[in-house]
Amino acid sequence: MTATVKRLLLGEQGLLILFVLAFAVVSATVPNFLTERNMLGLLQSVVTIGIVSCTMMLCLASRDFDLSVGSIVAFAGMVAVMVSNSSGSIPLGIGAALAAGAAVGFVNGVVIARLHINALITTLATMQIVRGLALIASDGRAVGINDPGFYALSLSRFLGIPAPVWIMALLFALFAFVLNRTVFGRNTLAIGGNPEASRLSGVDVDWGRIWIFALQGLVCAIAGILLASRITSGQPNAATGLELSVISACVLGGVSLAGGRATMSGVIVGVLILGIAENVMNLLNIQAFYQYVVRGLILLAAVLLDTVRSRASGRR
Amino acid sequence: MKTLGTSLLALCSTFLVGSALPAAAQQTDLKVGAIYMDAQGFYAGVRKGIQTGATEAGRKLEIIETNAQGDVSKESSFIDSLISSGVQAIIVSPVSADGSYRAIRRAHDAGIPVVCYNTCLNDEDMKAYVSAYAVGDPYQFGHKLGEAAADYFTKAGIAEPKIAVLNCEFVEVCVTRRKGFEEALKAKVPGASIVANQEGAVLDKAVSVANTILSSNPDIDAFFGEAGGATLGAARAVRSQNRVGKTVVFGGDMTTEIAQELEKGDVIKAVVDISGQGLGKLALDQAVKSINGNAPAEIKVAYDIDLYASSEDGKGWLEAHSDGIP
Repeated sequence: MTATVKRLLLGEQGLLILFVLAFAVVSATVPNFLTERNMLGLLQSVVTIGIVSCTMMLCLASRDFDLSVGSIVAFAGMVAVMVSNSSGSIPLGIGAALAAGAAVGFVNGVVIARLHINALITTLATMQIVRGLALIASDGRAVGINDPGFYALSLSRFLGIPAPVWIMALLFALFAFVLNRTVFGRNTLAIGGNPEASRLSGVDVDWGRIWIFALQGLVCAIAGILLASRITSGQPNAATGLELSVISACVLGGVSLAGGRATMSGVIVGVLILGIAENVMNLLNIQAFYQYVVRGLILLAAVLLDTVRSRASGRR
Repeated sequence: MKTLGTSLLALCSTFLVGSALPAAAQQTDLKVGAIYMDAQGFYAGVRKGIQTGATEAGRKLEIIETNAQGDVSKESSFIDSLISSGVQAIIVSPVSADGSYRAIRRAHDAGIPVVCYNTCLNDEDMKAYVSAYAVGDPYQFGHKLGEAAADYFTKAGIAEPKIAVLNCEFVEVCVTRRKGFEEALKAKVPGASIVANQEGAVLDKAVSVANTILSSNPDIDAFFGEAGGATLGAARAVRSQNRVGKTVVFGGDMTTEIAQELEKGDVIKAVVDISGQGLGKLALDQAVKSINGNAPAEIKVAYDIDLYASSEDGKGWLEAHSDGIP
């Protein structure tokens, strides 16, 4: 490996360069990969993970975890469908789902920041409580959508691209701005880097964390509404295991589990790597059991690369 | 802090005793334990079947139930609790053919008849520890659907249909379903081929995987969904990719949404189903017989597999299951 290549791969854009290379190789070798239909399908398949990753990035950057995201997505989808059905108003259903998601996130934040309960345990508990609520509300069954207008949320297109993909792109841009250009974003990284130092320098750490979790809940609700629209029903068992996929995407994108380090571009690359790996394995008809191994290996490789990179730049 | 803890403990005890009293006060003449693998869909049907089975038999049933969530250790702990609580029989769909036998043996050794439904232990352990096994044969399940698919292709004049499978083959039953499907289909339509076989048992994943399969194989004639989520996911993908009229779906497990799709008749062409309610009733019936010392000699008690292959069938199912429980 020449010094230039080594410097490129171990630099800030190393992951992006590897991603571009992998994308080129896959495009050239996997039949039907680089078709319009597959690209749109691929983007749609990563919408839920992509949207939730935006706020999981903030959560991890502030040295916290949120395991309740999958349950909130399912719960918000159920709320949106059930309220829309009972009230006959889709906006009311969407509003109720957003409020429900934000409320769960807010509770998470208050318990973690104010009562000083470990985030892992708190969100593990809410993960189960909220999944239980989704099952109770629906008596364990899927709830169909009465008003076909609800489908339009995921079926409508702008410039040929489905609305959920636009919403995901919009949220990527919004949270890139929040992270890099706002006091809130900088405080988030500061809290993750050193909570005590942040507190001493005047950052309201507790409210910062509460806001992050409330935003997480709100964003999960957006993902839940779009998912319900896509699968044309509220499913209480939807998005099972989503939390691990989202955390994997963030870690793949270079977000540090120790807090204090995150970039939106990295997270986007992480989300796309996961989505492309899944898509390519399906296109190549690789058996599901092998897919688990490949996904694990990709995650391990990305973390190893990140560690090597961190050591090279003397940050660890 | 200690006072608060004591108060909380007292409050909890009061609540537990209070909530247990009404159940104890009821005059029940049948007390069984039931373990489901999931809280919804098929297992919600089994639960309802057990309850209505007891009512129809004129028995006052007390049922102690839980959801094992596919976890052998949870299942084992719950069976131990059931043994301690003195149930007369245990109705269970064991999580693992080889891993669930220890707990079931403990129930058997305690003199409590165990009735399997849907899944059971391996043959040797089943003969040793299980009183009855209410089951719809998974091979027949696939076979019946394969025959329906073959009839469709023959009528449509498609001699070499390309089929994609959305599977649930992390469960052994689903592998057997596919074998039955393939053998029945190829016996009547030898040119049929499986061009893709991918996991997609849960609806959200099934939609994505079916979309990708349609990208890689735009000319497939049909999907075979091995379970409910796969069947519905395939139908949703066919609609979203504008393949209605070109790609059809055959699948397993009836739900309200699948029945509605079948009623429309343009995507889902046939569905096979083992009624959860029917199987639950059969399992309870076998449990009562076992309690009375009349366990079946053969152990396996077959439950009929239903085939729904027309728009009228879908409509009929919806009318018969207005509460949505399969």
